[in-house]
Amino acid sequence: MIYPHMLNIVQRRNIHPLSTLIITFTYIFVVASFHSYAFIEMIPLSLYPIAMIIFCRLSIRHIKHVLIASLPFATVIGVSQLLFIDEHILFFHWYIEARWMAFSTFVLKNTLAILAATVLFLTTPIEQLAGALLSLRIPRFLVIQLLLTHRYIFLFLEEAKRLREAYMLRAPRHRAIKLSVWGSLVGHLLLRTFDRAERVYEAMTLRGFSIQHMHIKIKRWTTEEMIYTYVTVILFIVYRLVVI
Amino acid sequence: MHMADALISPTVGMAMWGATAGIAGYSLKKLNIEADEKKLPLMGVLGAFVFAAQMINFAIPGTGSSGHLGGGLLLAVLLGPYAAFLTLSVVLFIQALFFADGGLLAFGCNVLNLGFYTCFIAYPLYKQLIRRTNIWFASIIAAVVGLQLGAFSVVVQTLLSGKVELPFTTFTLFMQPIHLAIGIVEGIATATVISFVTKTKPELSPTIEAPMNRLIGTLGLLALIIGGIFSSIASSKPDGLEWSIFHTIGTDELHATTAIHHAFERLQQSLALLPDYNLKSGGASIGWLDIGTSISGIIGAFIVAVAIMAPYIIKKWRREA
Amino acid sequence: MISVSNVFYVYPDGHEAIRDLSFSVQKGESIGIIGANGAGKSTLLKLLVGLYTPQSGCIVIDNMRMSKQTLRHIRQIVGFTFQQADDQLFMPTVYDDVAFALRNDGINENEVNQRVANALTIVGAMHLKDRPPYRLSEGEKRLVTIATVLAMKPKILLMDEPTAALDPKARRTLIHLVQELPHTKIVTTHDLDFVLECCERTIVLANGTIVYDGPTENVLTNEPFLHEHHLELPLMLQKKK
Repeated sequence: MIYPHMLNIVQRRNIHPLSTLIITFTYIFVVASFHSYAFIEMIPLSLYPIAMIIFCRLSIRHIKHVLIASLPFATVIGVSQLLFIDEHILFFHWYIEARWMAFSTFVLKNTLAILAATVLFLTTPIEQLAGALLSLRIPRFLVIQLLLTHRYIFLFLEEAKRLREAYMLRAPRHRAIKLSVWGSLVGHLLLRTFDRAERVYEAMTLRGFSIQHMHIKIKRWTTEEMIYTYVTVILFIVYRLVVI
Repeated sequence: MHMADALISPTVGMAMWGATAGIAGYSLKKLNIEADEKKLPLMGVLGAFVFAAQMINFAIPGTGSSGHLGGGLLLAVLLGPYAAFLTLSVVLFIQALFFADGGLLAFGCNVLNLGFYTCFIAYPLYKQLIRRTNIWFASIIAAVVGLQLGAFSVVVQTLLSGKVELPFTTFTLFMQPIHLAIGIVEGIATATVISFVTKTKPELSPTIEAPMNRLIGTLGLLALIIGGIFSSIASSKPDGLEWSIFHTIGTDELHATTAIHHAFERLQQSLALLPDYNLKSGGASIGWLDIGTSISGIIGAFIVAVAIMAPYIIKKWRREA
Repeated sequence: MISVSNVFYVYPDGHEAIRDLSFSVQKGESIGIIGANGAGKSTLLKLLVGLYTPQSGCIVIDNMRMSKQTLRHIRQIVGFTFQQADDQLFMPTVYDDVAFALRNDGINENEVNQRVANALTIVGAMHLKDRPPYRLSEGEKRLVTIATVLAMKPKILLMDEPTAALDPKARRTLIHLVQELPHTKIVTTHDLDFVLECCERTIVLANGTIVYDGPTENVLTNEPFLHEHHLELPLMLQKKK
């Protein structure tokens, strides 16, 4: 689930995080609102993620990983559409099988939503996202918690990897860890987690930490950024209203 | 069990976001973080721990396959329901954003399905059970109940959204057994870790928090009902009118093949409880479609509500007995 | 500057970590604290910043007796760097981390900017300012932790195992930095060469008490004494065999 290349991802930071956040949500909202046969109508919407990927030169590798990871889910639901739909729909002048339309619509929808979320992730470093969330009135406490969790994920994942490797080196014939051993392995990890939490807390108090005062930078919206956001959002909504 | 954006409609998504926001706000208030600032780094770091723990697979005895910890119930036991709910929300947010594991619009659904039931239904149940039985029994039952509710919730949310064509019965019969297995594994894994921690560092052993407030249950219930009503209003303009749906055979369901399936279907029809949400009728009878979706939405919410209330009812009944 | 008298500290689990400890430190001194694992080195440092409260005895720092009331002020004066840099660097970027304490203090952004730049320049890590801490090398992290502390303009620096997990070059950079910093310094370490180069005075701890307190040269050349306390001659003093 974690991708090894993630430590080296370059996040672009030329777009205002609040803009991307709002645009992404509008986009996903619009995509999700299309009905299950709206394949053709949704095609123009793919311009947004594609344009972002090209203009911001986003990491294709990461996008590839994320899309591949979503494949099993997309396949199961997509194929279920082939099984459960048995009717014909009017497509321009022809009656075609609805199941294939539903199948391709679902796959496209899923891809677009995932691409949009990934574009948000790749264009918005976490500290900027934190600022944007704060300006959307998300409670400070949750934002700080988000930052802290994010801070330690990679460290912990590496630790988990080391634990797993250490086990596998001494039990090369096992494919997965024996449950009894697993309990103490994860248990130890958990105990170390508590110790670490304690030390992080100490480091915070030594520097006079309080939730209210913890500084999270909120970037100002320039006029251009504001116009960019409004125009894009309105474009998506207008498109949705015109097409249906 | 993470839901993707393509599965849900904006109305359902927003209703669940709303419910999540409500419960998160309530949890923040109950947590009273000013009084215990130490919990902030602990919650943050435990959130990262969940990611790490999910990486370490264990062999499921006797099957040759492997599983991993979900972590929801464990967090609830270690942190109490409020802090655990918030921590899980953050974990799910990071999963949605970083790994596109679960959608952003579906974030509210996922927090409810994976966080709410675990922290506010399964955990109180765990608390009740642990007094009478042992860690193993309590964890397994709690995890199973939490995941069953979550899985059912996925079904209801998907059907209410009406974005994919999945017959209620088939979908439910697919989801529930799978999550029964996952629940048992989760329960065993949770119990394994908890018993290790209690043995090694007794002072860390989980504190049982003050009794749950009924408000939370009501809130979730309300959200579901609102979600049900909203989505039926939203779908009063059925999908794809301009596509002029044309029926060839007249039924859109996969014909049932198993006896159980038949039985269920007969039961369902005779009770007329939950006609398939996407009951496709002829273009003329759109009115019936409306009623059908509304009813199934509300009944779905009702079933979940009963499930939510079950622990309280049991508790009360126990007290009286 | 620092005076510790008759301090006792027992952990909640009953482990007696510090027993009747007394010493004092003059302004500008640089002291190495050495001893076996579990001798009480880290505990002692945590007592000096008030993370732990002694059961008896008293600690006076800069003419202030440590108590709940003076704690805040004392922590302004005493900068503490953790053994694991990752525990100390929890903000999204290096800049934010160095600015963390200043912003908590409500200092205006202009001055924050200046002090962060200043601190990062002293440790030679200005080029790292926009990087996230988790992508830094161990040596870079170490320099940044020192910057986070320097930004608070402390008078005293406490460092817990500063050379642990550093490569030789990073370690050398750190030694030069520590030698140049004018602060009163107390360093716990197993790196005896580091003590030899950076500290003129050494305290040896064993089982929570002081077994030696005096000039560094005298103790680090006393091989039998060092062996007794799970230590050995600094590498640069060992004769090639």
